[in-house]
Amino acid sequence: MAGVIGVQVVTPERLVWSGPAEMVIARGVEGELGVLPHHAPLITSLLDGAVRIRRPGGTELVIGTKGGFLEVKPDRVTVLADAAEVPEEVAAEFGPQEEEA
Amino acid sequence: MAEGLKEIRRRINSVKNIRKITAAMKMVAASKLRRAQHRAEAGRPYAEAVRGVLLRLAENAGVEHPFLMERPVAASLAVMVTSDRGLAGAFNSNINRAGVQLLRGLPGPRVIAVGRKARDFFRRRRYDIVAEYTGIGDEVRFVQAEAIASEVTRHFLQGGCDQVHLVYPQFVNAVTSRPVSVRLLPLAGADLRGGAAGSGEGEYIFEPDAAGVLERLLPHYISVLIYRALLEAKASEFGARMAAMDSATRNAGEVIDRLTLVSFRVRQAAITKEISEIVGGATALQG
Repeated sequence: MAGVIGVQVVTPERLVWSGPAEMVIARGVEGELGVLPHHAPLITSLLDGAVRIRRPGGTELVIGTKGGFLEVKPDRVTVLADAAEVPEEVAAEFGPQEEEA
Repeated sequence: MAEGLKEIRRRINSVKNIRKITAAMKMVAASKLRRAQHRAEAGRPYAEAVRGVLLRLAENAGVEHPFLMERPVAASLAVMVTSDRGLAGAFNSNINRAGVQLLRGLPGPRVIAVGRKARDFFRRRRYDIVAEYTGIGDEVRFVQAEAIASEVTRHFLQGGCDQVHLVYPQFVNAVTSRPVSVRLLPLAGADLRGGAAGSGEGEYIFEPDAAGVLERLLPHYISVLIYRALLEAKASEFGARMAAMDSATRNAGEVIDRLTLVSFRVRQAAITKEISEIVGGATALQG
């Protein structure tokens, strides 16, 4: 593998996630695209949906996003979403509450 | 005389109560300030990323969009960002004054008031207020900025104004903010082209195309600018309130000290008078 690429998922209100990845898959207006390290510089509008981030080690992180843009540089991918949710945070908010009522 | 003493003690107590309130408000403002600063910090990566994309667009493709087109100015619009509440020293009047100064030099001045203080101020002066936004709350949400932005851009595109300025308090530090005005529309071309830092990343691919991305990005950028202004205004407001309440608390302390001194003097005078009366009475009896 050609190493990793730095990924940043940001919304107007906060930095949602950042870290290294082997591949990023997103839904652009021209179709789904997968970004590997050393991708050509690219800027695209995104559709609502999910950005899938394949992390080193094989686990995949799925971040739900609404609207926004994707900017790709050879060493860096930035997802600028209008809104984004990380699964663990959604689970923490809506999942079964274990502690106290 | 005894009546006077009672009166002074009553006043001391009332000032003490005021001091309790101002001290509490100061602490509340301090903690809200911390939160507001945190939020402003959290929004920075996005703002930088949007700006970066915009710069790349400007570098790689000719940018052309109604938002970037200069036109003869017959009407101007100022978006005034103030707070809903007072008790923050000269915070709001500084901003409003900066706004008046700006509008005085512009043809066809109109106002969008954000915050009750701007609304009341400009209404009293009979400015044309095209929209008002109050009740923003302590935690600014991006959707609030978007609502203002869409109103602003609607006005601009329909020809209601040819120029839009944003006047807001720039956060310098906890106790200092400075009213600044920036031109929101048309976006200063120099802002985009001048910043051609020559990132040297080579040709970008745009999907669908540069114009398509720009079409979506520019309105968004306006929202981001307004959102940043709202965040800075919040932090500045809490900072100003903290400083105002701090000095109010200190002033109350001084008043209490002074009144306490007066109360001692009055009490001493009363005692002296009583003694001299007793002595006088005793002397009269002996006589």
